[in-house]
Amino acid sequence: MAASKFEYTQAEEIRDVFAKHGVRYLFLGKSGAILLGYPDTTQDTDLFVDKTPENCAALAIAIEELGFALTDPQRAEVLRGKDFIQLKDGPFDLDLVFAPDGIERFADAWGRRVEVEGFAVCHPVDIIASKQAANRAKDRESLPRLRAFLDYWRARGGS
Amino acid sequence: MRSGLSEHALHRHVADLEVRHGRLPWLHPVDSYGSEAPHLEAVVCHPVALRSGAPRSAEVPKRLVTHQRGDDTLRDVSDVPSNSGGDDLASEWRSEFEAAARRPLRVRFRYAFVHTYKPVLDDVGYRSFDTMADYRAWCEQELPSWLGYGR
Repeated sequence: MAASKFEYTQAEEIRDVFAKHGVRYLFLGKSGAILLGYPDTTQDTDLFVDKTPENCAALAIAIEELGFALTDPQRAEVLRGKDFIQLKDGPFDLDLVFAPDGIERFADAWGRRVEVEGFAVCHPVDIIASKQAANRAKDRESLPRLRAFLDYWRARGGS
Repeated sequence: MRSGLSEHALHRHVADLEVRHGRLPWLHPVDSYGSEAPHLEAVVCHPVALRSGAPRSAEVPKRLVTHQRGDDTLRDVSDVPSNSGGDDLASEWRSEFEAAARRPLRVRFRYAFVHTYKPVLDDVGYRSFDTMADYRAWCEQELPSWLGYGR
């Protein structure tokens, strides 16, 4: 596992390095909800990444620049956009999700994305949809509060 | 001289905190580097789950596997009564959302991301799956159920 928790400065690094390499990504899961203002705790940083070959190539370069050392086979898996890749040996724990449960296509989620201080974040509706589809015990536990947050977020002007 | 964990501010104030807020859930030593620690996720995210007067519909968070301080076993605390009363769930959440909205993102980050060891899940530096279904099946089969990754 990573040596320390995920810090704001590391999120900024993701944002800046991914922008530099033109990586199309979205914060997903609880980490995405937290960026939108949802008060909760998590260990996981989940990124939903566009699975096009160009984007996967840019992603491989970007994550190595962030300090994740990839072996050749691991890099090959990133390049082909394996559906789920979990990196736990870098500066922070990072899950790369190319086909999240409950979201049909990256382009759709990208179209609905919310920008928060330059971070690209899945719309809360997509975050809820993916948790609903994943249907793990931890998801079922968090869904009622996430739905309440969606109502609150919309009432405050979120669309 | 560095102080020991038992002299930590949090540990010094446990008794006061429990008088004020009811019983605190604790992480078992196997989950927190060999010593007990307050289960911050349970306290911060789901305080209502510990309340005896809170509504207990299917919508209310049910699972909080945690540990009672000084006890060597893990258990589900969703039925553990607390002395903290029974406010309306929605208004409680709303006030939490409002409090969060008043904090800058950088501050929210500081309290939102935690770092604890998750057995099995954290034991290798890299893993990958061809499909999400494969990953979910792996979680079901390999991870301790109390981590909550099962269906």
